[in-house]
Amino acid sequence: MQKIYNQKFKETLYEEQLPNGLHVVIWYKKDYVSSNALIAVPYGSLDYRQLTSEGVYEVPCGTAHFLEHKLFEDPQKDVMAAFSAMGANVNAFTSYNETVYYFNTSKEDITEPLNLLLNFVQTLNITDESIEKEKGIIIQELLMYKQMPDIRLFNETFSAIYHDFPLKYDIGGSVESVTSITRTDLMECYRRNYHPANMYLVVVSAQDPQILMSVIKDNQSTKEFSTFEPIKRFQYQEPNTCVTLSGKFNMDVNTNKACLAFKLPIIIESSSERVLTEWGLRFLLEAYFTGMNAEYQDWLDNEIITDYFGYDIDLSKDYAILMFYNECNDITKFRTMITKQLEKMKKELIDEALITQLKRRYYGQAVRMFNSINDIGVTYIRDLFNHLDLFSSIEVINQVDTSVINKACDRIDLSNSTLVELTNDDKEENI
Amino acid sequence: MERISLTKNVNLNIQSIDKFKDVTLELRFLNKLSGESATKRAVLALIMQDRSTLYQTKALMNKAIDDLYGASLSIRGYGYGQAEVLRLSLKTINEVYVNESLLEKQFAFAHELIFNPLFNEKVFKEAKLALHNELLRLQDDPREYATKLALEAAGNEQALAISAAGNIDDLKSLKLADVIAEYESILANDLISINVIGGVDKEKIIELCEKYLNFCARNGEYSSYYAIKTELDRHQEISKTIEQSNLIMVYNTNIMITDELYWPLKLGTIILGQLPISLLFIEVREKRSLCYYISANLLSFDGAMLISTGADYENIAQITSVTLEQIHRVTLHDYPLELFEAAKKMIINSLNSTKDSVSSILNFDYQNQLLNKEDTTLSIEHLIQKITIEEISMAFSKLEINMTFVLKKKGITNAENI
Repeated sequence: MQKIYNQKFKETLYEEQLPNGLHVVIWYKKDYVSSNALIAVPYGSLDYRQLTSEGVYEVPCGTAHFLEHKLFEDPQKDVMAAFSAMGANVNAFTSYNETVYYFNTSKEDITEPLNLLLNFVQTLNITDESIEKEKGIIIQELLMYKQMPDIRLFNETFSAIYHDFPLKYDIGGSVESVTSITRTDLMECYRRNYHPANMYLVVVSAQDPQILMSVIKDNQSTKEFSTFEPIKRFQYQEPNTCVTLSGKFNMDVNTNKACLAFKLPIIIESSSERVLTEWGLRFLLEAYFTGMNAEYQDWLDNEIITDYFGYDIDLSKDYAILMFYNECNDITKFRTMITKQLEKMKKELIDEALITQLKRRYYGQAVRMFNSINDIGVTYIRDLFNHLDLFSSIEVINQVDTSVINKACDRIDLSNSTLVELTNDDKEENI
Repeated sequence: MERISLTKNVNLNIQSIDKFKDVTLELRFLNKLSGESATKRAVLALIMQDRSTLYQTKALMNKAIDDLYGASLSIRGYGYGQAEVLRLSLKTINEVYVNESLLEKQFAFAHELIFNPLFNEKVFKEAKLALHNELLRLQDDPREYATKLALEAAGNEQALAISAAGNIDDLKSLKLADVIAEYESILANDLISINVIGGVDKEKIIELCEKYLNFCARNGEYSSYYAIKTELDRHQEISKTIEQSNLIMVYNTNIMITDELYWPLKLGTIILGQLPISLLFIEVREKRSLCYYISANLLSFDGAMLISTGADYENIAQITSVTLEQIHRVTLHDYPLELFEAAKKMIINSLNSTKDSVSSILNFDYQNQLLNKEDTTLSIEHLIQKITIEEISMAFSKLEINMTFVLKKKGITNAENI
């Protein structure tokens, strides 16, 4: 196993890829009492349609999330109870790009829960009856998220942007898609994606890394897996334009909200170029659309924005979006302000002093991330799935300068946008 | 943490530890909780966090924070039973990662925020509007809204009913002069706890406190914990256009946080509804597929327990009835021994994990300060190991249902049997 020590952040980790393909990372946190271990599979809600050597393989939306729920099922033993009996908290989550299973414990020796994590994720044993029962639970989960205004606003915005790309669907799917999921769908998805060669195990612990690695190797050596057939996310021919220029939906809320989103061209050169461009834009957006800019105060004073106002930028390998969200009754003023400001941003040069200021900010925040044993694992695998390692993804911040920012700014095409409004048409009076 | 009295009722608590990558400086100002003061303090927190006399614009404030490498700054109010705490937390990266002296700058910045807030009508108006928006936003989240309404109804004009986040009615009539008066009262009268965790030297911290955080001595004693007493078994339903109904059941525990039965109650609450193998999770979610989440939580300083779930309205009566059965099961110790053992392990696991999080260390220590105790995670672990099933049963036999509250989907007729 390869030892990596980062002098700057004073962090140590060990890496090895096992013969069955499992990528193992052991992050040594010597002063910590608790341990966190996670297994991540690069299979999220956006992968409901995939490309295999046999052609296109498709399952109902929400299958990745459904599978995450069902993996905890084992007719031989109650997985949750077994973790609890060991004094370990177990949980999982599904995002657009990955599914992650993890546990936390303050036990000194984590051999038992680590073996259990590997064993339950590497086995699927489900029945038709249990699948039907799970549907009721998942539908309640979907309804819970559907009544959260912020989540609804973003989901409705994604639907207004994308014609085909599955960001337009909720991570958990819809009531209809979840109802249609079968045992075959789940078994097949599992077979195709949950192979050690497609899995990543990250353990953050104070326990001896050599011992942990031998526990993992012993566990894996007893198991047999078929050959992994490479599988990829389906490549969509998504038009450059948005589905609609504007949209509106209704909820029982006190405050109207709006989201102005720009569908940006995808950066295809390399991951490092994409990440550097995203940082360049983030520096600019921070300088032009937050309290760093004196005009921000005017927008607040004139009630064009509230303190809820913010932006998000996501330049992924499959999609690229820039969003501004706000609480407002006058969306025309909001839109005009954003448009004017973006035009200005493209014309003007950013102050060098602001670049230095932001570098200090992001460096400090990145260092502080290493305090959390839970954040280390998730940040590590997200960077890995983005073809970066965690340390170099932080070092990228230091590369940001005026030329990077200008180049990033030149790359963004703001001609495709949509404005989605959340209003309360039934509101009788202000509370 | 090592305790040092700086002056009467102003205490410094230090833990010198290298494992965290930052230095946390935190101040907690303690006083009696009331609806009016909560709103004043909530506005004050927003003013203090926004600007100061030295940093008169947001841009200057941002610059000051970024000079400290993007320090994490948070100022807000929290309720601890009958007491309220205004907490200022300022976390700055440890100097060893930047080869630059930051500790004194961190204290100087905290001094500026505490002693030189920018009070004028413009800043006040902005803070008032921001709080108004925040409170309205909270009402737009059905789960949060249901909890807020349930606690207001269950609290019956006691501390449980008061939110440290403030309230819209008090906000409407609030004047800048009221906030300034509250601020002056905080500086003169509140009990102050200054907490520092990180790779720091004790003598240096004392010196910095004397230079930058010099408060006068103060009198006063504020009780925080109590056990709520109310009318029992009340029901309330309110409608909203939502996708899912929210059920909140509030119990009076009749056990204070200092009582002998407190830890058995805490363990029983875990058995009832905090683990994926807890009775509520198994019976309501796993066996009957009636909900996605269901949990039981203690409001330890109020002597209350909260059970919360989201479900279709037609299933609320069934969930209520299954919940009552599960509480009965805990009282009758009718649950697997494995669950009892697992609950103990999980609470001990949680106690041990405290050592890996600055905020958990600070909260644990502050609880000790409020309760005038010197508990350690180890002493509590010993206590937990000794708890018997019978003690849990005794604690649960004291539970009384205070309020069953439902935020239901508009257009549905009332249930008859919940």
